[in-house]
Amino acid sequence: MKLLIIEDDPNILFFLTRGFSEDGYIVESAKDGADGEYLALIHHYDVIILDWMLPSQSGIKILKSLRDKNITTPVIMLSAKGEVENKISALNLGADDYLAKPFSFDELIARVEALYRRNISLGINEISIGDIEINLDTKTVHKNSEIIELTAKEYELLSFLIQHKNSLVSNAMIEEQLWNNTEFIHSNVVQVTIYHLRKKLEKDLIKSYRGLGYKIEI
Amino acid sequence: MKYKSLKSRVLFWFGTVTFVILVLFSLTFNYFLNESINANIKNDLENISQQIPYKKTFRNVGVAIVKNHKILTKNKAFTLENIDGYLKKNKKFFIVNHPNDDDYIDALYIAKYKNRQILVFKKNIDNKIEDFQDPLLFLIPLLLIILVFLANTMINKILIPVQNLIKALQDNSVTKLSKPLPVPKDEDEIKELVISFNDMIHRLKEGIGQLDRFNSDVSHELKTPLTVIKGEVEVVLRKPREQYEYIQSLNTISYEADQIEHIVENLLLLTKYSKETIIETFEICHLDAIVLNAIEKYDAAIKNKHLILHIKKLEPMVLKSNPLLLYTIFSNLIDNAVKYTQNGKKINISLYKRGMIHFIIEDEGIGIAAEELSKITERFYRIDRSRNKTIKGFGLGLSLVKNSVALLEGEMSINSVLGKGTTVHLSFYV
Repeated sequence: MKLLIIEDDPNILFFLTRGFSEDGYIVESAKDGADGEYLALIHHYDVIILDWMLPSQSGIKILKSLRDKNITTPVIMLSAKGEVENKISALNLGADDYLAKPFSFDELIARVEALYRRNISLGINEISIGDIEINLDTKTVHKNSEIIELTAKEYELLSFLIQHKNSLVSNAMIEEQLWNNTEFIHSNVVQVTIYHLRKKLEKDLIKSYRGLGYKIEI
Repeated sequence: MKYKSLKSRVLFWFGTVTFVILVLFSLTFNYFLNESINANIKNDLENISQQIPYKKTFRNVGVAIVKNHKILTKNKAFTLENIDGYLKKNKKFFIVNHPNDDDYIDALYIAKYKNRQILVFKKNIDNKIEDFQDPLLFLIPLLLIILVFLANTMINKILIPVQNLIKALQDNSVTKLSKPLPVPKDEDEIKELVISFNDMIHRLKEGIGQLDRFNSDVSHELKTPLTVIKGEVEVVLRKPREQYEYIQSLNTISYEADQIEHIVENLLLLTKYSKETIIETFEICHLDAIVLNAIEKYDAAIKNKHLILHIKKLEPMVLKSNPLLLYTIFSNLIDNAVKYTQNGKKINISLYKRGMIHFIIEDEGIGIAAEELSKITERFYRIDRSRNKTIKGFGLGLSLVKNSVALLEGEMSINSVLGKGTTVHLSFYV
């Protein structure tokens, strides 16, 4: 899952990035409003974590501008303003969730996961394709009730393909989704990951279209 | 204490006082009336007694002549027995009450005539005082009831606006001091009271508003470091880590804890002293030394930014004041100048005495826009959020300075031109 965190306090950003990265999320971040909005506009993210008070452009303005531009990425707002009115105004402007500072990191993860789930599977936390069962909560994959051990990247790739089921996903899209913009990508790392994933799952679950990309059909 | 309404207390006192007055009045009235009636009877009998030597027969009046306690002669109408008792008393006039009948009395007059005594006795005189006593006994309670009733009505009338006021005030709880009380039309004490109440409500509202804002500001400022501490701990504890990671994490937590401490200390300083108690903390302060101390604190920052700090004047100066507040004032002003002045620029500081004591700090910093100038001394006010994270601070400094200067009865003026620099001028009375 790819996250965008827009937060100006360096220490908050640091622990958020670290916590999410260690949990296998691909994290990109921005320290001010304008940068954050730019990233949200040009890249695809599964969830955006947005601080309310930001330099140069407030979180609420970014949210409004994104929604005006039909970017429907789930947004969870973070704010030290814990009053009900603030929550209501954020939710009314198109935020999908709201968490008051100081928050529990586990709660934030759970909420991010819930938003993600809602977006890709309408809130269901189990998806099954043929013999394969994917639990989005525990991030485990079963084949005929037997657990399949996937690496974080493989799991991310699988859920990304499921998210875009029945449509073609290009190499570049996968690269962008699975690696953040500071990581160096070997040219064939996507192919290698696909290869491993196909080996662990059913061979023909992921269809390959040479030169175009990959697809899961349901 | 048990609740006693004003009305019942006033009625009680009014009733008691009225009752006492009425009783006193009746007793006095009764006494004088009695005296006057008796005087009449006495006169009457006295007249008769004077006629005795010249007149032989008296109708309706008993007459006796006594010598040495012995009745020499008496007429039929003289029915009084046991005259010795009266004769022994050295009195001329007696009223003899009938034992079982208040309506009539007897009267006896003893006159001296040569070596004898003439006794005039009138029987069954109509007791006039009785005619007054009965109506009086009936009138007192009646009058009392009427007066208390009138008083009650009057008090009720007076209390109507008070009760309205109570009702209006009860509707206006502390949390929703929404509307001022309706001002009555009549120009009276109640109107003055309502106006005073409205004034108080207005000030309370302002105070509560300030407190609310302050609370939300404080909680906001405290929440950011708390978020870091909480999140950092939680994330680090998710799995075992290398030692350097723990150290790094603890450093972050320590830094944020320092921030919290700093905020709390400043907040305490803001509320610690009051105008009334500040004088007790005054001691001899060497102003020039305090200024130098404050400058020293920012020595490293000044060097880092290659700022030129120029002390234009620093006259040795002694003042009775609060050194902690003075230090807070100077260090915050220097801190601001250092923070908001770009690398390599100049800061001028002067301290001198011209009637008052003047402290001036000028910087060539980024300056403050005219419309922001009035707001910068508000608590937690920071001009542009974009500077927040590059320039550390909570926006407490200037409000602390303003409060401290006011506590020390000094004056502060800030002049600033955006992009050119800021000058803060403080003056204190010697």
